[in-house]
Amino acid sequence: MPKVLIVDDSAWARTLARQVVEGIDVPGLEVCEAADGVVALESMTVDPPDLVVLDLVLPGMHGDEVLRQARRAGFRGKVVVLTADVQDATRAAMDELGVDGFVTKPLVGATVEALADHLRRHLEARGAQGDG
Amino acid sequence: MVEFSARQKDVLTEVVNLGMGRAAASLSRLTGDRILLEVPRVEILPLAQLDDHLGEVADQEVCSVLQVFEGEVAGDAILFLPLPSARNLLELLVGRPMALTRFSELEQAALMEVGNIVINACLGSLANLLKTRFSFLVPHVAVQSLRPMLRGDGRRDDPNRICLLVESRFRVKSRAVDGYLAIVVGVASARALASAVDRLLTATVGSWTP
Repeated sequence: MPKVLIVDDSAWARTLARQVVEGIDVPGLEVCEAADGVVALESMTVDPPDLVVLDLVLPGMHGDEVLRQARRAGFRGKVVVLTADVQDATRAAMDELGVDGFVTKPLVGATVEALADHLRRHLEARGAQGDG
Repeated sequence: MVEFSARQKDVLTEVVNLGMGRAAASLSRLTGDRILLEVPRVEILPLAQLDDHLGEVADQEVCSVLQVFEGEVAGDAILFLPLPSARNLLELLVGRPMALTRFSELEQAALMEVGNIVINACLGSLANLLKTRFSFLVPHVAVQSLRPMLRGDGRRDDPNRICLLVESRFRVKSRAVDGYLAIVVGVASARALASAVDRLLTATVGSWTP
């Protein structure tokens, strides 16, 4: 079963992201959440999801560091950054870290479709490769 | 005092996050470096308690930028930076060391522009999501202690006047900048703000509770 982890310290933002994830037509999709960076890192390393929707400005540990440490620990899933941090320098830093998508908040209108496109593409690619 | 529920506070905190992200993008363009944001702390409290809540910060000289805004929700937005943070920020902006306590007219103008950027980014995000519009009056910059400034405002002790206080920290290279944004509104605006947040919640997530 494909699994998506949503990481955001705002319960409202997690709910908005969950609506988008659950709107994707992927059979058996499991969605879980983390509200801070430390819990996110644990989730990504202990029971790795296929895809993470990752906020960057997080309590406990910044999203950059979550991703860096998760990769170092062997996490190979897809990561779509969903952030209010709209700096070009942040986007460049995320490109260097090899994220699979970068969507800026707020999650309304066109950004909903942008996130949904990333999710569809990555989750369908995973389906085409089999459960692995 | 108008009370805000946990879910209303969650939404307001996220909206402030959006604003700080936009402000950071502008500051990043000005400094040429990436701004590393930390999670802002957001509190809603009676204005009369603001100086005590801030503790020693209220007694220190701070660089403050005051901007009055009008609209469905109207009030005062005050960005204040402890002087070491104001100095760090100026050094990042102009690229040379600054005196700790004295700012030239040009330096004050630079700080006012930063205040203008941060206040407009936060209130702009709030206005966009709440489908309202704020008009901004000309900002004022001052270097003074906060407590006398707050106590000199005759409206401070109005029990219905509330303050949405954002405590923010960001880093550029190895420098930290601490800043506070106080959005002060009266009872009618507080009610209008709470109603607008409820409309946003209904439109986006229905009857969700955190």
